[in-house]
Amino acid sequence: MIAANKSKGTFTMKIFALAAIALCALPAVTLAAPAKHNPSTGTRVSGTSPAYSASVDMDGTLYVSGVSDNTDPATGKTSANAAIGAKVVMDNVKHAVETAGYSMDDLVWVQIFATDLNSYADFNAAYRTYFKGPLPARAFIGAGSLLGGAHYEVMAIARKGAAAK
Amino acid sequence: MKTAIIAAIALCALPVAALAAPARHIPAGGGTPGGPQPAFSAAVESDGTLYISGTTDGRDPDTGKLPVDAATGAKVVMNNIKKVVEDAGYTMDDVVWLQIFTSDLKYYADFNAVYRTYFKGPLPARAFIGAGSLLGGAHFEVMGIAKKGAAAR
Repeated sequence: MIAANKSKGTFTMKIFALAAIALCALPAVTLAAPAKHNPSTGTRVSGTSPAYSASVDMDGTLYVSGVSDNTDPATGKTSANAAIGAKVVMDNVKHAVETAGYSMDDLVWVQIFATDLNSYADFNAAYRTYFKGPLPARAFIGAGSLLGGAHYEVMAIARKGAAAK
Repeated sequence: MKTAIIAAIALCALPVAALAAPARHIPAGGGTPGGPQPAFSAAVESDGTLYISGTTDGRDPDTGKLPVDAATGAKVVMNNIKKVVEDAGYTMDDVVWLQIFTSDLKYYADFNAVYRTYFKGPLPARAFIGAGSLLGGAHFEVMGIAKKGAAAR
């Protein structure tokens, strides 16, 4: 009798365990938690109520808005040249990424729009200094024109914990 | 058993709280010997999502030069994408999202005719955008995102 009870108890436990495991599978099919929108403080061009968030964080993926070098913090104007612009725009990316609690090495995907493709080598030299590990997937694209006469606009995606350990 | 249940419940909580595994970076070729390597990975994989770098048709492997026309260019750039996708262990039908930048929108029809042949199932979400200019005088630059197992079965 005792043995039978124990067996029944074990069976019930097994059901519980199966239910718990089934619950584990649920998050994959249910809705994700609402995204976290990190507000943008705006730029010289967008004003202080920009029509975008600086980034949106969703389940460990950070979607980073395009930032440009149209507001050099040193002058309040568009960067004087492409070499300075590369640093300004990458500082902006870094700020958006780190403010959201990610690191630059968490970036997995980067798009660079440039008004002048001749700045490719200069941009790369500055760009590399922002990463410690292997570099993100990336595209470098000639844009017809950019807001505020910027040299660059960069947008990106980061994954929490993607940085090599 | 109680321990097992608690462990199972703890496991449930993990995917939300834990960091993703470090991403897998697939190196890009094309660096000059002794010179700098490209400033990007060919693709980066994080938790079943593959982020694919932009690739162009700037160099036709048959000739070592810019493709003679847009139809050839479309084939070159899509072959590049296919190679990156398949080297990473994905299939073209796992691609869910693509951006095509072109130096001239008049290549649209030629590009599409070639593009369709790279997929068996329903086509990825996509944009086709006129770029001011592309590196190396390319006709096309394509970048995208694939999800492991996204291909219709």
